[in-house]
Amino acid sequence: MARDVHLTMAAVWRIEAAKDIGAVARMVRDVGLAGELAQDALVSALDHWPKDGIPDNPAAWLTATAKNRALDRLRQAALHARKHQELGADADARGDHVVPDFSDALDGRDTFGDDLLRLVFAVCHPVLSKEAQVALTLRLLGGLTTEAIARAHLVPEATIAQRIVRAKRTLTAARVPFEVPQATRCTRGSRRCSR
Amino acid sequence: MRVMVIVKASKDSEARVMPDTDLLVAMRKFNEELVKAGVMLAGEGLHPSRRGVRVRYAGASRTVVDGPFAETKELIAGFWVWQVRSMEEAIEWARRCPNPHPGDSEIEIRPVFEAEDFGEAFTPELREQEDRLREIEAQRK
Repeated sequence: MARDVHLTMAAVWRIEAAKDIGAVARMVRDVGLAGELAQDALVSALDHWPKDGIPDNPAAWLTATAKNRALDRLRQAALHARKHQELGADADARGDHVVPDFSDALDGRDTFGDDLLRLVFAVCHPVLSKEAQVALTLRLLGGLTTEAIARAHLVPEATIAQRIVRAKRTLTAARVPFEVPQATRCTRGSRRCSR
Repeated sequence: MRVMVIVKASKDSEARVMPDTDLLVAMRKFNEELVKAGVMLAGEGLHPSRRGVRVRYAGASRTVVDGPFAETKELIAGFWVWQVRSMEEAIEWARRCPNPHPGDSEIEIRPVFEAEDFGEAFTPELREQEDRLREIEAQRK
């Protein structure tokens, strides 16, 4: 029986998306960017797998591809940071730039569980409206398509797509850290965190 | 759709060689993933076939045969029932399952019949009765 490549990819994505995005987010410190890179990897799989066959470990293939693209971006960012220095940009501007930790990025440790938790906190950050949190969570953690989310909310797909794009931008602009918040910052019953 | 995921028996499972701690931990993690993903519907391990019996049907007669049974390849050691969107998804989950036996193993995945599959023989009355039965069963849990 011929195995449908697209169904396999949909299954792999559904199972692995959140972990994948989490692992990449740990490298690039940006949830929106991580989601983008993970999806780029999926698009790349769409190109290669029908021709080359499904890899023995599809999840690892997707994660490795996304991480490679992440490394490219990190190298670019480091290059920019160096150029800034060379051009004599002031200390504040340099501080603004997130120069990522390469040893962290190249560390092959499997910390999927922690990354997933960090991702959960990032997409539920109080800087986002409730609607935005829901849409982003369903998209990144639930692996649902924007179409499915839109149907569930009885709104046009474009509305959800925009909501997600804006949510990612908000997280980036607000420099929401990719971490598990410490206990003191998130007390039970606190309005900010119960949103 | 639902699938039954059948863990085939091995010499070890028939000899009641129990899984070591590493495998128990790995299996527990895997089962947790299944539950978290909303895939797990049921899952159990079975005693070796020497604890089992077979009931044979021939017309009106019933014959009971005690285990153990010889053809290990044909025996099962455990099963799951999973809720998945496609066979491909079931396969992906099965790949992620830790090897259930110390040696080589086999898992078989079979789609479960749903009401629609039975066609006309499964009348609306039968369907209603089945739904009611399932409700009672669910409430008991």
